[in-house]
Amino acid sequence: METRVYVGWYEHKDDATFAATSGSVRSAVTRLAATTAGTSEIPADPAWPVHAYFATGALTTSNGTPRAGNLAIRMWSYPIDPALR
Amino acid sequence: MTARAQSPTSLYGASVPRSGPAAIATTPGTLLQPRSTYVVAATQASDDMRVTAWQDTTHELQLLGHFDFPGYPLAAVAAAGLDSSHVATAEVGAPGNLWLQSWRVGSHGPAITGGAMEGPNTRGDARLRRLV
Repeated sequence: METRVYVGWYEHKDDATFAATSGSVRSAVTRLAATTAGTSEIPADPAWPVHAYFATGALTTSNGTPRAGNLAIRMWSYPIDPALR
Repeated sequence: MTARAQSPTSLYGASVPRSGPAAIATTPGTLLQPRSTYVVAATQASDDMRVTAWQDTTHELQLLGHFDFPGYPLAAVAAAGLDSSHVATAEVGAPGNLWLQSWRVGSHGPAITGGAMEGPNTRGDARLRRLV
């Protein structure tokens, strides 16, 4: 069983922040779903935010096949490290 | 440059019933309003395809409405934001047809604005990405 994660959109300042945030997103979503995160896609959309806001949609799959249930959509905020601005 | 990883904060959410493939997208922000306004989900519910839209009020995801394609079982689906009020979806139907559709999102929910069929005999996953 896995939780497949889709990230709708995301803002970032540079590649370093992007990489760090990407790892944190997977970690947070894993904790949220209390299971293993499967796939995650974060399209790059450069900007200069104080906070990054993004959406995830999570569903539970079995052997790669989505199981019946709900698509859980969640909005997130991610603080950009001031040192990186 | 070293970045310190921090945990994202969960703000609020919504859910939609689904029985098959699903995808979400948000409308891109603008220079004046960088935060996305709309969130869209394309899902399979029973044998129907459903496109649902919410408005991100910055306090909640407010349900705006949905659009159903009855009797359209999905093998795969993808979605991408096009501009501040439009998204696109790509659906691979169970017979193997790939459909591309564009949607306008407003206060009444998603409204289809155009579509085209590419296929048939499409296999595999569906992916969409806006070219910046």
